[in-house]
Amino acid sequence: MSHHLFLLSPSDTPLYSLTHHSTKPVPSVTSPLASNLPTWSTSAFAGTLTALSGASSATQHTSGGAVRVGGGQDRHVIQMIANAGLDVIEDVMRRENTMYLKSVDKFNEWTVSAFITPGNMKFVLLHEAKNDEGIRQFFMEVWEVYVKTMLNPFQTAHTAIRSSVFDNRVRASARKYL
Amino acid sequence: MAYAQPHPRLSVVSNSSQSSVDHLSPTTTSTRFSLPSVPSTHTAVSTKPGLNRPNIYDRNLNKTRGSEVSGAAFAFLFSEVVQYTQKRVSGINDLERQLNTLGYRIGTRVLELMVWRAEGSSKAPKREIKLLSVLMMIHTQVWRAVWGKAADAIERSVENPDEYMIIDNDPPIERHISVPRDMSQLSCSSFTAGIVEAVLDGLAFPARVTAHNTPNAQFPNRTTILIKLEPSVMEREELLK
Amino acid sequence: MAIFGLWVINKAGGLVYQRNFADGLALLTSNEYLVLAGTLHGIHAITSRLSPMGPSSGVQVIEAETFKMNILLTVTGTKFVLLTSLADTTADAVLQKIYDIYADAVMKNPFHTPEMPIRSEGFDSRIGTLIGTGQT
Repeated sequence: MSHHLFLLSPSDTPLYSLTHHSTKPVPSVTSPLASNLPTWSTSAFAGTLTALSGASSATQHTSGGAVRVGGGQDRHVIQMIANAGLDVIEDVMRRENTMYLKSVDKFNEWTVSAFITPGNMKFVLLHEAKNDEGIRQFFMEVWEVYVKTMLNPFQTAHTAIRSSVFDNRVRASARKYL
Repeated sequence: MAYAQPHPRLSVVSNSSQSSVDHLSPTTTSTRFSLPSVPSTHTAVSTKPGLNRPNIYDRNLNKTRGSEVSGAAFAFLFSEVVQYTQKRVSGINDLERQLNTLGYRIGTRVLELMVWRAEGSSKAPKREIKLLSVLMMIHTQVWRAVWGKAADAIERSVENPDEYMIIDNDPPIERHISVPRDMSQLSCSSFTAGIVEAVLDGLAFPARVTAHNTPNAQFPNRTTILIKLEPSVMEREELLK
Repeated sequence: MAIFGLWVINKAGGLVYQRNFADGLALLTSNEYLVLAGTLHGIHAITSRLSPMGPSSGVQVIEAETFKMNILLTVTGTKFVLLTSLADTTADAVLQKIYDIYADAVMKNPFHTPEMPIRSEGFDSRIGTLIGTGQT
């Protein structure tokens, strides 16, 4: 089961991203759209189309946390889903005053949860299973290391986060909670 | 007041991708406020695990929560900031804008850290999304976090509904500053205005914030921070009514 | 008991601040004040260099028939000179307070250039509150 984290600046530029494969088992997801898709689809867009429909490609059901290729796990598809979630997030954050916006959007097997810092930094997480409390705690830890990163005078809300300490901390939190 | 050129703090976006050659040379004047791209220092720390350098990531953010900064040290530092800036600008407006930019950098951090300290241990941390509570938060919490006391008043302009004023009778930043007569328009509280602007920007209430001297008999240093909200904010507030 | 005037002399011997308080002091032109301050700086140098028991901070009080000059030398070489009546006993304390005000209102003011004449409203008004208003 994998998770995808994106940190987006107030102007929606990605500053940091992380793909985390947790060792927890993948819940079996059956996409209704996928089963309707003709299997003979061979057009140039077939790959993306299949991916967007959430169809499971042959390699998807490997056991454990092995990296899966194709299907809803394609990098560009993930990014597109995260981007699409932004619209919903922008909408919800005007109305809701909580920083943690759980399950704001859903796309096939992916659920989009977000965390908005006071400085309008957006943490977007794509996940498959429901894990509200774990994700909340994960976001809180990412927020803390982000605040510490921001205290660096060379860091602004618009510079990519390249600190390896930051990276290690976020990975450790991901292992702990996701 | 409109910016003739791109706002300096936005230039950070573009400058950060440039090589870091510029910032290494203090003689280049054009990039004096640009931020260098960082990688060197960061990786240097992490690739030497044996090196026991204090690391911000290992520190508790609440450690310095109640600690105070020496007023004299700050006064000297800020005095140098003003002198440094003054040498590199042409005119009072420019100086105020640069002080504003410097304050903005502080403000983004103040906001994030202050809210983290207040909400970081909460089960459901909250952001302020209402204009009035944001203004009250600036008046009370931000002022207390930065200056150790709340501001003295907050008012809404009678003539312009999009203008708010935060008034400080004796700003600590101005306590030792005597502006010469030929620069009487200058308010060094532009630095504070920048902090306020960053906080409003962060919470999605973009505004133009300026500082003005409004002395009275009792308080010769009385300063008004004028907040002019952008039209988009006013439209949104109108819709939310 | 009265305080007649205050001079501030920079480390090069230039007069950077001069203000009269109580009446009675002979009024001189600013040029004459500059010359006198320079002379005092020289006298101070003599007294500090001639000391028989090692280094000395130099002359501290000069008493004349009708008044005395109290001199405070700071570690950076700035001299504060307070002209008082002979009976005055507060001079030392007042000089210390002047030094305090100088550190706050002059040295922390970004618009002051070190070693240059002091033109600071904050300094003027705080000295005024300390000693009492007088003609400048």
